[in-house]
Amino acid sequence: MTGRERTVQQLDPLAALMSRPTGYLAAVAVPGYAAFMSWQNRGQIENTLLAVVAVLLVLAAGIALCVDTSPLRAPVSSRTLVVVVSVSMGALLLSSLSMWSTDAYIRDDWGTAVIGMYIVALAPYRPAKELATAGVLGAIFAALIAVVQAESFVTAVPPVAFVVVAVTPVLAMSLAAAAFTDVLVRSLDRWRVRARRAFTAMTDGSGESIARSVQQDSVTVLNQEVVPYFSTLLDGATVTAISRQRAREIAETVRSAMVADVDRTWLETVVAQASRRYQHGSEAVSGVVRDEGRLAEQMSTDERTAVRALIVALHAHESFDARTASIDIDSRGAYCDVVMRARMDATDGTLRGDLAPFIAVARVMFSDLQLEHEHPYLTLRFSYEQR
Amino acid sequence: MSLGLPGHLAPHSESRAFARASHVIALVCLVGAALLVATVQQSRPGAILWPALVALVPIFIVLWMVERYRSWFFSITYVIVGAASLYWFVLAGTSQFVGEAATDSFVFTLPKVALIFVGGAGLGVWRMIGWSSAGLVAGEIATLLAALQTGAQIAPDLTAFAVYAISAILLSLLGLSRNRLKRAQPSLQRAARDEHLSDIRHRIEVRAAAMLHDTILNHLAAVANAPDGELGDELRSRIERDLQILVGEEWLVDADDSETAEGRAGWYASRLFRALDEARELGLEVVLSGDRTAVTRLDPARQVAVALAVKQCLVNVLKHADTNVAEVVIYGSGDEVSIMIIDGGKGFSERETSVDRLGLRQSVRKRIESVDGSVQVWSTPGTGTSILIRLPAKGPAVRERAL
Repeated sequence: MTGRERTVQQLDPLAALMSRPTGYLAAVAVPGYAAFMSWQNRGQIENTLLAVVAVLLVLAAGIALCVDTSPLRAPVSSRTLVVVVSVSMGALLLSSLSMWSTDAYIRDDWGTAVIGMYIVALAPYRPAKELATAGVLGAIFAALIAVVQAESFVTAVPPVAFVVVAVTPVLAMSLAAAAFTDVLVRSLDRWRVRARRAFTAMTDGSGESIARSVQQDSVTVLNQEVVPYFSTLLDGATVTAISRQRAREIAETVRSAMVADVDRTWLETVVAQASRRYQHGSEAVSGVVRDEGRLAEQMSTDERTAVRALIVALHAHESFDARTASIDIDSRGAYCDVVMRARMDATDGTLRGDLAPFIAVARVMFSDLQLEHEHPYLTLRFSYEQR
Repeated sequence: MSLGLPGHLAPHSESRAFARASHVIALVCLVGAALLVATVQQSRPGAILWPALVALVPIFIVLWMVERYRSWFFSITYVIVGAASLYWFVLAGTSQFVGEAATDSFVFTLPKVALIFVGGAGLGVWRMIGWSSAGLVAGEIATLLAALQTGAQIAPDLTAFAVYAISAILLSLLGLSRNRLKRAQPSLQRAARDEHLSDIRHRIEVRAAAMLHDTILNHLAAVANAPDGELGDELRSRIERDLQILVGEEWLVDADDSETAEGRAGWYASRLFRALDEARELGLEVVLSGDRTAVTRLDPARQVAVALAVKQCLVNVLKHADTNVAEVVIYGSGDEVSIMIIDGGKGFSERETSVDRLGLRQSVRKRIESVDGSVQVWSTPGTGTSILIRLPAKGPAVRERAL
């Protein structure tokens, strides 16, 4: 589990995907709010250009947030938080400068609320500590501006009061975002411990039945040739040139069956299972996986789970054409490149919508995953480090 | 491995997270309100503002309680006591600034917002929105009543309404998008389970393949090289014994069994001791050195695996190395046991050996890797072969990888 940050997005990609609409909302509503409040306060604005640029900066931060939180670009890095918060801080500064000596009421200023709202919108994507730190830095910045600008405000209270008014929105929202993330991440941690215990119990419970089934398979193979052959010998038959030749032949058969078994990777098994399950009627598809170096074996368990879920989802999709499917794995230094390709007749929008949860999960494991849909062919590319 | 919370747990965690976030917002707002009152008091010593500060105490207390025990009782208490606190707060504040104070002043907005973020009992976003609505209405009524009493200006508090509206829209969006994604969660959980089961199956298959290789293929090879006539007694008894085990017994189910030999303990009871003995019976001279008791620090499954793997290495020496002497060295360090098998035979290049790649790969490498160990092979044609098997010894966290 190393390499995963303690963010909701990385521990529960679906929960983060669920909050995707809040990203859109933030990108529309926050700049809208800034523009509306600027219009309301238009009588206090001395420098219109600065005021306009400030609102445009808020819009730019909103667009950056919306683009970066797309499930196709997951996971969101700390860079996004830094960019969104610092651009919003820039907007706060410009907005204050645009009415530097004419700003009557600090409570009507939108700057700190914008920082807070953007931090809330980023809550599912970054760790609690980062969210809280960003909020505190935003609050300090807002406090400094409030202190310097204090003379322009008409309310007759000490500058400390302006500081309180300025920092309360950003602190309330960012600390709430941090608390939200913290609770969710902790409950994910607790769930992981429980799931692990359940898996261990499952290992103990199903290990025995799997062992019996594997043993049954082996016994079936042995009963075909090996057991009858040895039985004849044990019953007193003598070793001759013919029986020696027969021993070599049987050994070769058993050996080649074992080599084939050993050479089959988990990925081939998954593809075969999925194709059997969903492509009723059509013949079994073989040769889908081209993996000369058996590189699929180098994937970690988490990576395998994500790929398995994706393959099953693709097969379950009504427009998936198993006969055109291919998975190629090639090594590139310490990395392995995977290209999955298949014909899928659905429209681009439908496909992206239907596959979004699985792509979101896969993106957490393979940060370079790319999806191309050049109708009717869907291509997925990603790479992973060899273990 | 787990990817996210399963469907039945997610609403609980989310409601808890929303409640905690709500309570943080409420706390920050109440602290903000208290600080504002304190600074105004400082700048206007003539005003009597301490009753306003005292008015905030009950709401702080009920906030702590609803955070601590998120029950229906404390959620309702929070709304009622909070509204009463707010009423007293607005009353105490506006009465000091008659003609000046308005109900939408920022200092009054803050506790109103605190009242909106009840973070009450129950699951789901719709219930959260319900609690916020109750908080908003109670707060507005309390403010209105206080203002009517002191004659303060009554103005609609746009900020409080906006905060309520934004939080309600946000929560509804989350509630709606949840339904869309519900169906994907079971597929992911199933993938995680299948992956786990396939891993278990794979490990068992490796054990089965190694076992078949050690027994059936070795016996077939022995028959293929046997002279004319009946089978030798020793080969016959081995074949009989192995067939009986492979076909008749549950040889895969109980591989963890340590099979302690009667009346013997430690090294002499170990599977490795027996494996070396069997190799000697086949005609190999085995020189043993190092700390042989270290083997007993391996858990039973690893003891079996290492014994079978070493046996296969020794059989390989006899079959392919053109020598009948091999050295086995056992080392034990803190959390690891290493066993080295060295021969001075003709050596090989692992890449070129197709004939017995199955033996080295299946019976040695895969078998050891399936119990979390590692195998290194050094061999060049003409200079002999060294095989190093390393296994984690008994201690904590040895099962981690299997999970």
